[in-house]
Amino acid sequence: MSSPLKVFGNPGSTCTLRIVWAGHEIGHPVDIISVDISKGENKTPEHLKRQPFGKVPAAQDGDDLVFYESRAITRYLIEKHAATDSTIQLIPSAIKDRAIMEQWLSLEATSYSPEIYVLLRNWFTVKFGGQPDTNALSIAAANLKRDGHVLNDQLGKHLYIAGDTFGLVDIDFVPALWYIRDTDEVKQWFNDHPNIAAWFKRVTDRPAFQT
Amino acid sequence: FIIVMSSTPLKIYGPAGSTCTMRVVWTGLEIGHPVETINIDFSKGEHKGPEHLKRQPFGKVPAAQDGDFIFYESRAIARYLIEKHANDSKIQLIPSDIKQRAILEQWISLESTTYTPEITTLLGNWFKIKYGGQADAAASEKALANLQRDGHVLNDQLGKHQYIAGDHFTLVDIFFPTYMWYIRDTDEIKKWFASFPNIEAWFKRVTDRPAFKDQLLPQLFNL
Repeated sequence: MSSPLKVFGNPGSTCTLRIVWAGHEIGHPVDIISVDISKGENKTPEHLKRQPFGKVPAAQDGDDLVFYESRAITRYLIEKHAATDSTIQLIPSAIKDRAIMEQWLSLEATSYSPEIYVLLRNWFTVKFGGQPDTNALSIAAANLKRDGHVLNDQLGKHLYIAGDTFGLVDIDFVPALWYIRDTDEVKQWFNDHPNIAAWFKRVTDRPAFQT
Repeated sequence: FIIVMSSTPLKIYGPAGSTCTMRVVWTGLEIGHPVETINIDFSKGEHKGPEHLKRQPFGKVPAAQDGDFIFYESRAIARYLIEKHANDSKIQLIPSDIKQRAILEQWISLESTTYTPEITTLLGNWFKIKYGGQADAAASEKALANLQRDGHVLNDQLGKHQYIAGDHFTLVDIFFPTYMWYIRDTDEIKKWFASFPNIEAWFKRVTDRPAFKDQLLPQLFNL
């Protein structure tokens, strides 16, 4: 039995959440070691050795692997256990199904999430008493509106983003959206794109997410 | 007995000179399975025509076609091409070892979400200036500032290794420089290179590769 993947991070952080959720989905929960940003623990020399940008999360597996970037860590966690457990289906085995997954992973990271993260950062700023950047918000909302139809069409044809099986793409997409699900911008996006709204409810209703 | 048929080349819709399409073309050249590019004429709005939108609903390039199978996103297409030819490639661009792959995925994530967005801003402005449009100087300044702030991580890595993900040329060494190629002589990139000599040395090293220099370059735009 291999020991759990060590994840240095913050269970409340959207990026760490990807990894934690994946761990629950595959029945191999990760071991979170808290890095308290409010205490500056992300800027200690110890943490900077793991993650030179001073961000969270970072991960460690044994003595010979320390790495970072939540999308890379989530992928590694799934691949590691899927190698010996064929019931794990978060990454498809067929090459063409994987190509579709990679297409949507690319869209998540480079088309949709940058806009969603603008909304998230603003929400965070406002939450802590700051002033929202209404210009940035309206640009992000406009971009999501412009690009939403592609995701909405896909979710009109399939239950999940990359097809009819829940997978890595769904996990990568959700965490940032989760925190801002009640903002006007996201409510409007869900309103304009009902398949996206339905998918969001479907995936966040999963027991592993609820955990 | 078994007859091994050589497979038909992957069809790529998009000019080889486009920064994203370039990733796929270079990958094919490196592994010894060149792709077939089919031009999409931007000046005639072909990318927004109904035929192309069926392949790529955002109206962008590239899109790929393998038989009846159509998909898009250059990083996904490059990966598919590599996986498809996993057993008969000239070079292994994605490591088989899971831990080495984790490092590659870390750097691909950094490339696509930390570095390339800034380079894209510089590229967009360079393009605007070249074609007589209004450039956003403030955006370029901010992009360069971010690259200066984050460059040390890439520079340190390239001080320890010849290539981004380690001691072998891999997929991320293709993803990265293709976006930088057209703007390599701009003030911003020159400043970045001056601050981070390991990055400059790596850039020269990878764009000196025969597949890039001799085979890909002649297909690029004369800009």
